[in-house]
Amino acid sequence: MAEYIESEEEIKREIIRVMKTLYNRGLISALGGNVSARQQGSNNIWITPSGVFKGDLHEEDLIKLDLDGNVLEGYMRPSVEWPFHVAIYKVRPDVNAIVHAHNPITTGLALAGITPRPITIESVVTLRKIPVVPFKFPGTDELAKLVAEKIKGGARGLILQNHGVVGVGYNLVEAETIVETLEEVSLTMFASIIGEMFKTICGEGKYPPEISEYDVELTRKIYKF
Amino acid sequence: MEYYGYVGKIARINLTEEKISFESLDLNMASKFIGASGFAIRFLIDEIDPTIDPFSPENKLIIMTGALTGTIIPGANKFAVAAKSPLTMGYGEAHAGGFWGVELKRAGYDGLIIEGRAEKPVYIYIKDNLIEIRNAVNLWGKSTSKTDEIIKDIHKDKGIRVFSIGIGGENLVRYACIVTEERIAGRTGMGAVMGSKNLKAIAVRGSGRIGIKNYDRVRMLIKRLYPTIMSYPPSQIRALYGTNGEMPIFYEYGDVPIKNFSLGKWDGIKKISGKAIIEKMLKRHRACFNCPVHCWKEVEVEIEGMGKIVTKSPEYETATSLGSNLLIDNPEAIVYMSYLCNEYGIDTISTGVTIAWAMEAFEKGALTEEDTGGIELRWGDYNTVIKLIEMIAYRKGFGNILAEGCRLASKLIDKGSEEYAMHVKGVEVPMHDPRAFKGLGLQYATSNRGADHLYGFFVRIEQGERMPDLKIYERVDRFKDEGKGWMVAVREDWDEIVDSMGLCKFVLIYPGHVAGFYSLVTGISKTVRDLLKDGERIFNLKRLFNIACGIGRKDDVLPKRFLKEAFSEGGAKGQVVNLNKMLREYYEYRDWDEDGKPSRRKIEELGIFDILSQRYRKLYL
Repeated sequence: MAEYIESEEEIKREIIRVMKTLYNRGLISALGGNVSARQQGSNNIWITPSGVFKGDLHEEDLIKLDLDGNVLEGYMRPSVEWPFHVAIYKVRPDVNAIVHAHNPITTGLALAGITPRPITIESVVTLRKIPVVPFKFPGTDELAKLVAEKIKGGARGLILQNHGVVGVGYNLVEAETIVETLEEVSLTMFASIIGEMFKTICGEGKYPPEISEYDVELTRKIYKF
Repeated sequence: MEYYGYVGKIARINLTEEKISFESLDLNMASKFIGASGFAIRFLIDEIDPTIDPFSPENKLIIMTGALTGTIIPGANKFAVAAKSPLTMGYGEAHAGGFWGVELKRAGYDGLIIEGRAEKPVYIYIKDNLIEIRNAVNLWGKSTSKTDEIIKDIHKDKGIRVFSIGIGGENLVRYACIVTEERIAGRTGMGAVMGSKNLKAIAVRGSGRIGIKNYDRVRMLIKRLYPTIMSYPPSQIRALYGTNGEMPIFYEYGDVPIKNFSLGKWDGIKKISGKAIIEKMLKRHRACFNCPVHCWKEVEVEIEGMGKIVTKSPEYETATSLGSNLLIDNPEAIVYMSYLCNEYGIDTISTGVTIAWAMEAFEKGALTEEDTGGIELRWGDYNTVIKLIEMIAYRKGFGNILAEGCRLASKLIDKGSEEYAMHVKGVEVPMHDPRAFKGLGLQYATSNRGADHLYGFFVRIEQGERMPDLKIYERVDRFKDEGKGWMVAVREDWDEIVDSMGLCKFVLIYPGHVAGFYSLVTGISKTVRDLLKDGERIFNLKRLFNIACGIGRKDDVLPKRFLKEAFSEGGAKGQVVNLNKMLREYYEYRDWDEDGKPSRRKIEELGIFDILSQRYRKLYL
């Protein structure tokens, strides 16, 4: 059976959907985050625009680039992060979609040296190992080189220190899944760390202030439960 | 035919014959030369004999609006004025913002070509299709703001926009400017060319609309671009304190000229910076047409013997040329001098730098009280400078020499005073020191209208800004010479485009977005790459005009001070400009020969050769 390849129109629609979902989840902010995708095997990619409010992108805002960064179609300015996007496509023929988001919890924990641990099945299966890329200024060749180096071994995602995260995949849903899972695992870790801290500060068996026993009993009596 | 972005008509006004004719805009030409600055050189190269005297009736004053001027795009309010310059004796061009260019376009004109010379002083009145040449005998001798006021009274219409010369332009001060409500087409003496035509003002009232091909998409793009525009740090500083807000920052770099570019440090900076002036005197924030930045600050100041005046807060260039460069640290005096220059219609940069030349020449003994008519020139003495500004505008006494600009004045005085004349191609050096930003030195040397900081504003790149859209990906070391040739050329080419679009360089819109706006507004599809080619075409055409005027390699130089004298302190301590090295790289990238002439191959590649007249083709025989 011939392999199904998404049309360029489908890819563009999908990029907009992913941007909207991630914006609504708070993983992409007004000016931070970008997404690209390509038809399998193609040397041209579609990428989100730079400098435009990210909460309200439309298909006609997307830009088509070749792998040297030349604009082939579109009226906008390509994301300034296009160098690392094309660097990934060059070293990973299996990758057709890249999501770069500004996951606040993942990025924040990484600053404290805490990276996702195997705390859920998803973190083991979906994320595997997520390398950390030291800070380099956004949009530079230096950043592109480091990203390519760290991802060429087959990682599904990266944490960019002081910056955000990258998820890659065969298609956009996969890349989006990596970014969402990263944040889910990090948020769970964050909650457990807070719990541990609470116990350390307040001692075993201590809980936050509660409503009075009288009110609890009264409510139970009224509703008989 | 329906036009988008452009309005499709150019008016030709012959003052000698009092004849007015109209030409429709050729869209094929428009797509190659974009607008304002590009259109100006396209007409100029066809119509002006490069050997003429700039003050002769054969010179033409070409005023062109940009492709995007007057549209809803932020900062799209600029227009260009061009002619053969009496200051450079080559290509002359100046730009202004405000509202005048927008009004001209609304009246239905992409531009005006003004020819000949009126017998008596006149002004041009344009109201949509009506163009009249009217008597201006009563306006002659009036200041720029007074002229504005009287014309509005004559026509009983406060909505008229006036673009006028002052007394400086009337008296052919070689660096006279043209003023519209404190927005000024300042450089290269365009006001003097206007004065030589006995043309006092051009008053415009328009009621038309400027079409936009994809209106909804343009609006949508603008709406979502504002956070980026207003996140640009220099815009934020300008929004607070005007262009002069950056003075302390430039000072840290050793970039602010002090005492005719001879000192690296000076304490007066904090007294005359934008912050100091605004905190003390601000009356209100103003903005040009459709601009979110509001760098135009109105200040109120009490002047002895005059009472209160309300005027524009001095721009960075003005506060520096009439302040630190003359060792004047009195902010009220600087505001007043700026006000005087604007009312007399003389360029503040050239005025300050020419006076600084005189002060240094006086200090070093090349100028004496005999030359100055008994005036003693002392650094920091603003009362004398105030007197000199008036003398320049009226060409009275020693002012008659200063009115020639520092290049010609130093030649007239001689006695070694040429060494203190800070100019390139006759245009006084603006207020950024190339010893602090080396590539800027290359930009000054190669700019088509003489020393010009805005012809690429390479300072930003050397501060460390990257411009991925122009393939400048890496940060640049400001003191290095290597690798800057091509970058300066690309920045110059890009700024030809910004000037041709009618966009303000103080509202940052990235090249990628500019290409998008042009395509969406006009319906003519262009990428950044296409536009850079257009910019290169415009740049090379201006260069060819200069070559035909006898300006070439020998004029791509900097004042000796920048090449030989290093500061002993400050942010640019120990630095001099190694110009020749950068120039070699630059010529190679531009494909110019040893004399600085674009190669035949280059002008054919850019499609220029075909449009050249025999006069220019002869250069290639």
